[in-house]
Amino acid sequence: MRMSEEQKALQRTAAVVVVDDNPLVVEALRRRIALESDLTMLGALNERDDIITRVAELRPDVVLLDIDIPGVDGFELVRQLGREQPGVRVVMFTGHARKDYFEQALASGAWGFVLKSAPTQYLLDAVRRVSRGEVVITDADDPDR
Amino acid sequence: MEVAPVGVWISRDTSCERVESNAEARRQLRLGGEGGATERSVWHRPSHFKVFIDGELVAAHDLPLQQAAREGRTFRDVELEIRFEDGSHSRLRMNCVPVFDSSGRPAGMVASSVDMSRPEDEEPVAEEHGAELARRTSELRETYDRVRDFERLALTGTIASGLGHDLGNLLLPLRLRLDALRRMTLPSEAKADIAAIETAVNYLQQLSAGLRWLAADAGTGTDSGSRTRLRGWLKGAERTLRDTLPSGVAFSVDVPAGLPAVRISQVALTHAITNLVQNAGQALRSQPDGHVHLSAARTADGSGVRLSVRDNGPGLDEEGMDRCFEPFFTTKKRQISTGLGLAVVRSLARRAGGDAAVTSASGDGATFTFTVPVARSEMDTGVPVTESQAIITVKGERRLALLRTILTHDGFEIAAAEDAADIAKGVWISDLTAPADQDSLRSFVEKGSQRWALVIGHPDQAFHHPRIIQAGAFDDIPALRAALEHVVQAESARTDADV
Repeated sequence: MRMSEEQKALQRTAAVVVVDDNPLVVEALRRRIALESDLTMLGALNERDDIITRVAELRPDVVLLDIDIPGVDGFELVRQLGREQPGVRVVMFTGHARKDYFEQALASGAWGFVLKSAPTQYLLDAVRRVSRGEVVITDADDPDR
Repeated sequence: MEVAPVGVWISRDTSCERVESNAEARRQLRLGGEGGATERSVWHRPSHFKVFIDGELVAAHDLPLQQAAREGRTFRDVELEIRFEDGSHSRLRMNCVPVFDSSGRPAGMVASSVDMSRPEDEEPVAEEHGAELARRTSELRETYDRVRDFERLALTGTIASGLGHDLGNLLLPLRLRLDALRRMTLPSEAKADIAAIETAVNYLQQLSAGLRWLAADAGTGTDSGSRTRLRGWLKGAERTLRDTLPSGVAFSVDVPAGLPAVRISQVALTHAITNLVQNAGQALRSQPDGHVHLSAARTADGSGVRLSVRDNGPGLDEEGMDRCFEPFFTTKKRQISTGLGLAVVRSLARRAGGDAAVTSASGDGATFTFTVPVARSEMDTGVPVTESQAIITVKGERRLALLRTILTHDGFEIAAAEDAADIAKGVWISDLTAPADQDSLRSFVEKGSQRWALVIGHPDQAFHHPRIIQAGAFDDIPALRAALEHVVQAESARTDADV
């Protein structure tokens, strides 16, 4: 039986690159994502990497980007990725429920804005949904998400 | 000039080098003058007197005023013995309250002093001023209480903003690892260990969420333009509310149809009412006939809606009623309460422009009320705004997806352009990608008084139609939301003549 385009999209594996300076977060994400059959973590980057170049090499579907990496302007990085790697979709995630972060994330071209306090499943689903072409936003009015 | 019975001292720095003082304060330390001016403080380097507390000489650096300003400490009813260089002495009763800057650091202090050793020949004057003293002391006490509440909230905000990032960064890997462990086949002892760790992590997560709500309150203090229809909200939230109650506790709801939308987001409302229902459930934990009732009604003046959560538990004593909304006040065991639940409830209500309150008679249950204003768009007419539809024709996959998400979040149902003729009430959002779009929009709005168009990215183009609105640049999300709110407001404010 032939699969519809929607079914194909649902079954496709989404490739993720995590950009975060906290190795505890990175390793835990690597461990958790490995348990999801439809998600693959291609690599992890931090402030010591040339992020744009490495993303171009790894060619992920989604970049999960921590907004608060020291020495990295997360919003400018999203704009630059949008210009240079338009096929890559960025989900920004942060521990700060700040409305200005939320608005800047959307204005800079992010496909997702998720708080680090979100349930694990919500974070993983956000990556899935963004890879399928949805925009996922956790309104900063709702700091409980 | 009449002598005020309470001395007031204000320092706007942490060293108390310069102070403002009133005339009574100056009289108490024999400084002369009318007060009010900022000048070098006698407290910083006392020259014509020495200060003793409990018979011990106190260095200037250790005076309550200095410690309040420098370290953010509060001192209440401290008795100072002032020994002047001429051999005379007096006693002052002093209260010192620190003042904090916006980031929560000590930035000065406010102190009051009452002369406890007025000579007998001044007694009649003191009697004359007795009532005045009581009034001012009461005012001072109220000010102190307000400063104390503000101080706690400011401190909470500072802690929350500082801890938010670190807590999030620590809890996220913990939760991810626990989630991974839960998917493994493990011995039952290990599963029990994991369950215990999860309980602790969930508690920290709750604490962190409570702190973030309070920090958000300290940071913005304003309503964001959110609106929630109570019946629609209840459909999604009722199960959650019921599930927060212990088994055996009955739950009933009375939210009548026809109430206007309220000015608060669904998530905030759910968070607040869940806290109240959970709180009621905890009060009924050991009661066989426990019952929690949620109701909603418009306030007497019509400007708000009051949600009430009533329980038939043991009720609250006077202290409980006075203090239950204070952060970190709790009568429950720490393992089930963070002490932030009710503080967050009040914070959410006030942030929306309303308030939270409690009434209780000992032994006869408690009723917590959560009052929020009617949404701005429904204030004028009181006519509920029904769900609207939205057509989106913009270029770019992300723009389309983003608009779809925002509009769905704001309660619009997404429709296809082909179905435009069937839309009774709605908005068409376009970036005028195709030349024919302008005509389509005009035709859309002209064929129904409840149809609107929102044009994005063409600020210089004139449309000459009251229901075609320009929303400015595409990525200006606040402007876009403001334009959508305008549409919703205009819909409900329309008159019968428009129909």
